[in-house]
Amino acid sequence: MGLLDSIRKMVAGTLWGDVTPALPVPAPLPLDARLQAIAALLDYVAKIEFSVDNSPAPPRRFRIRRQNLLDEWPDDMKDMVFPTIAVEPGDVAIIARGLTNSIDESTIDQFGLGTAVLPLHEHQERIVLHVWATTRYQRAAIVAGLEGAFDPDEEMSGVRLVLPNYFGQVARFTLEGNQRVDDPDSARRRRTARLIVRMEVDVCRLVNVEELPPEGATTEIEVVTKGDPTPVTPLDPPLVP
Amino acid sequence: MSLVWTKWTGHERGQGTEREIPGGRIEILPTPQVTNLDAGIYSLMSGGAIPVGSVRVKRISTLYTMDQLVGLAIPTDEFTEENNPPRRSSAREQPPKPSVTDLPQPFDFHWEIREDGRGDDPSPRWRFRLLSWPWRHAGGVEWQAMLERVSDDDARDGSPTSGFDPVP
Repeated sequence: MGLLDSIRKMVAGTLWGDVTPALPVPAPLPLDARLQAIAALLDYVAKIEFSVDNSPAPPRRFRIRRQNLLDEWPDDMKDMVFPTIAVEPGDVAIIARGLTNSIDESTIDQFGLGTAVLPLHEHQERIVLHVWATTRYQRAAIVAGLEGAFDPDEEMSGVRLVLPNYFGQVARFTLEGNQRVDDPDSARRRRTARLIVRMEVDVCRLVNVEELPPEGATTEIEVVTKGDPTPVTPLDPPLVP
Repeated sequence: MSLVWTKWTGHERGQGTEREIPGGRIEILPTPQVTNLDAGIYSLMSGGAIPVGSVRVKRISTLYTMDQLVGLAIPTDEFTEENNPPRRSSAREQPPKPSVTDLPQPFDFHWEIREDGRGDDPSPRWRFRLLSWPWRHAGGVEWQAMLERVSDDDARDGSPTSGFDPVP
């Protein structure tokens, strides 16, 4: 018995992907939209070139190694290497897509024969990029580089990143603020900054779909106008060729 | 255990590149006793584990001066050559101090503790700052001091560690 068979009587309404003949339900992705979006953001940050004061020589350009860009707190065996940027979670808002969802028809058969992507809702979250640096020049360089990187294109503010491992969805990131944190740890060469980033990404899943072929279908439209009760049917020529 | 003086290439600490100055590494001899090393812990942060904590250092020879131990007496290559290990006259032969209140920019100073070679070779280099000012212990002819771990340690070969990927 498949998944849909097992829940059909429990769930009120028509199940998404409940096609005839029955097909196996597409397996859910191992990573959710949030983590996919953050991974894309960190891949992007790994490409950013920073520029740190190297007086009296010209500024030294550098990137931050991808292994030091963390999507959440690491396990205890990861030693801090400076500089590091870690993503910290923020408040999440789930934005529904109106009264009901609808599949994205442009994705039919794109990620599997007989399937389409069903956007469920939008995930909005204010994530924090927690920057770890040693000197204040290093911290300033990273903050400056990140500020510039969040507006790369001409079309709109923020950066939009394609998620190739998440149905080609586009995640949007907008820099909303930053804060340099100074405390006694700053004097111990542990200087931090926090960049607040608004992240928006559509949460989706893959569902089975069945197209209704239009061949042979007829369309009948009755048009009744006042004073002329004679219906006009069918249309000539028909709407559906 | 060593006293290490470095200098940044810019106008102030943290600006430019940090390099050890010539003669800027003085190994404290005889080797002092480090106690409370179990007070060091790995503090878990969002970016990874950071070694933090403090240790007490005892039996520091009184042939070193207070200004040396707090970093104000910046050594020269010649001074270190002749006074490492220290002699009875070392305290009188200190190089001129640029300041007696604080370390002038862009000099930097830290303490370094390494294992003595019985274990890993080369052993990790741990960077410390003075948590307390050194004091002469009333019960013995020695200095004592409290040290605190700071970031970030040099690599075992002495080169600076960083997560930088230089852009060619």
